[in-house]
Amino acid sequence: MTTGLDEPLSDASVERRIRAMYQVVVPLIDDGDEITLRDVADRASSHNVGVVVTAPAPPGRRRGWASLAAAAAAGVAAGAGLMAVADRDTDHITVPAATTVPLAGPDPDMFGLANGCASAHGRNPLDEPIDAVLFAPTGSAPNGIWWCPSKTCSSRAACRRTVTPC
Amino acid sequence: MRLVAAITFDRDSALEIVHDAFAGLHRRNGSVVDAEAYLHRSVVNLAIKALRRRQLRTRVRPTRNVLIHEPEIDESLAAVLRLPARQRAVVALRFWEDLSEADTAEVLGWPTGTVKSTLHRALQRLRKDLQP
Repeated sequence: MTTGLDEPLSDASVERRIRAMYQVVVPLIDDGDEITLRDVADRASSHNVGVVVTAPAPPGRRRGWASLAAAAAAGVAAGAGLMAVADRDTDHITVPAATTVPLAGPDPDMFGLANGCASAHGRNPLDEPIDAVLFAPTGSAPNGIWWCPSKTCSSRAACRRTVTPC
Repeated sequence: MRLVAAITFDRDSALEIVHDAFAGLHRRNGSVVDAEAYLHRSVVNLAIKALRRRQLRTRVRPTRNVLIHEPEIDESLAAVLRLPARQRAVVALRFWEDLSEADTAEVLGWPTGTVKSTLHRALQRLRKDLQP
């Protein structure tokens, strides 16, 4: 007769414990205080997102930049047609054409939209930076959404003048 | 991001790795056909390299917030932290990402047999470490 206490763990038991550990521990490491992949993926799937523009991280905000990089990845995974990424080491918000990366079906208008919006914010580099701009690339009309997760971006009006949010 | 966190168990290095993967994609200037697959493989390989280079598995301790004070969870975390980098990556892809062995092999760019043998060794080691 065995008590079970000294029996070797099965692979299934080990697997169950490791899975349980991940479910508890990983969300604590990535605590979601920035943009989450899920946030962007949800928006992307419902808005046919085509462009993700990430602002560079001002000093001390590289965490935000990395999260945005992940967000951009999610946008791309969800069908983004074009992505523009600014240099993380610049301290102002500009997305020159040279840094845009066409991934699939680039619409020339998208470059203008991305650059226009980024430039609008770049004129106010001391503002809380816009974190992400998402555009739907359907047709040539800028009928996308734009999204500033910080909700404190004072350049929002400038951005609205540059692009037409849906 | 969470996949990298599941491998490194360190937020800052995970963020760096995500960034570097994305920067790598950017440097390729649109020549990557499947950006998602590229980024997926890139973050895992960068995490493996980071673990090896910095010996994170011995240097990095879970942050205060990560200690759960539930023995079964903390022991499991400690056991995973003792795994070599490649084993830790395979375990994360299988049990955090819930990928099949074939999909894990695809992400890593390894033969499926290598994934199986690496996972087998990881499970052996975890079983030994978790044995009551």
